[in-house]
Amino acid sequence: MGDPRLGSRLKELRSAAGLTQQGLADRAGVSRKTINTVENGVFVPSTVLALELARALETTVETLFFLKD
Amino acid sequence: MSKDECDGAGAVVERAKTRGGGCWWSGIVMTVVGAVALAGGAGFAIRFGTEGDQATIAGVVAGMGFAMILMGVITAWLGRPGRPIDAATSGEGAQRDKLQRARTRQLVIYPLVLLLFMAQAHMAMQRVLGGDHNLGAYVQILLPVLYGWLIPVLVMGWDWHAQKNRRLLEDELTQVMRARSMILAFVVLMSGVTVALGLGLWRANYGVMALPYVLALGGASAGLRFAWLDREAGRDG
Repeated sequence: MGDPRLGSRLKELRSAAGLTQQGLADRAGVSRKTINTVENGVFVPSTVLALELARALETTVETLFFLKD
Repeated sequence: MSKDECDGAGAVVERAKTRGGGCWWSGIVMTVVGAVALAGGAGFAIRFGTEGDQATIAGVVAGMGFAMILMGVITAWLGRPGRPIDAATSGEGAQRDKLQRARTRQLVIYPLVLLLFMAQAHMAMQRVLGGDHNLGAYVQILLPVLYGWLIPVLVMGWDWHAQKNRRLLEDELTQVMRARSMILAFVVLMSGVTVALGLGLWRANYGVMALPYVLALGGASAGLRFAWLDREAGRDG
């Protein structure tokens, strides 16, 4: 499910926004497990979900995710 | 709590009350239908004896009735009028978690039930293959096959409950876990059918006997794999 090339700052930005996994999940309309697996790099979100997460955290997809060199 | 939050909590409690009322009546109906089936099955067996096809069917009906009573009582209890409703645990996120947990629990329990039915079906298959074409034995063989089908139906979200709560049960993670579970089930089915074919070519009876096992194993592997992936998804770190 995961991809070693994908880096994520989701946990960092969520904590900075003062949100719990459940809080972010509620804002993005997904389950807490979805947030957990994205943060752990177990699950690569689709473009739509990445955009929803970025909107929920009031940031951009590029800030949330990046390609590892 | 601000006025908006109070209004939101009030709406959540109202929604929970409405949903609870539905659960209460469904539970009552399920219990009554189960009691009728149990009484009918047991009454039939007492009146007409405990041997033969009809007695086996009566036993199956009584057993299903008993299971329905149990489920009905639990459903009615969960939706009973006057139960305490906590707005914090009745929101959409909590509801989503609750529904997904219930689905995972079902996908663990059903393969265990399937195991019990399989033991019963094994003896029935021996009887049928031995020339005893008893209707009750066919019913006993059919039960694990039906359960073998039921589990993938639940995994795929094709059941009525999943359709009703589609918005909460269908997220991207679920779709990925579903795909992975069904891939495993397909591999198990292909392997199982290959083994059954080999057995059938050697001893035709063994090939036929292996098929309900293959169907049950295929279904059970989908359910157990889904439950395993769901458990893994919930783990931190």
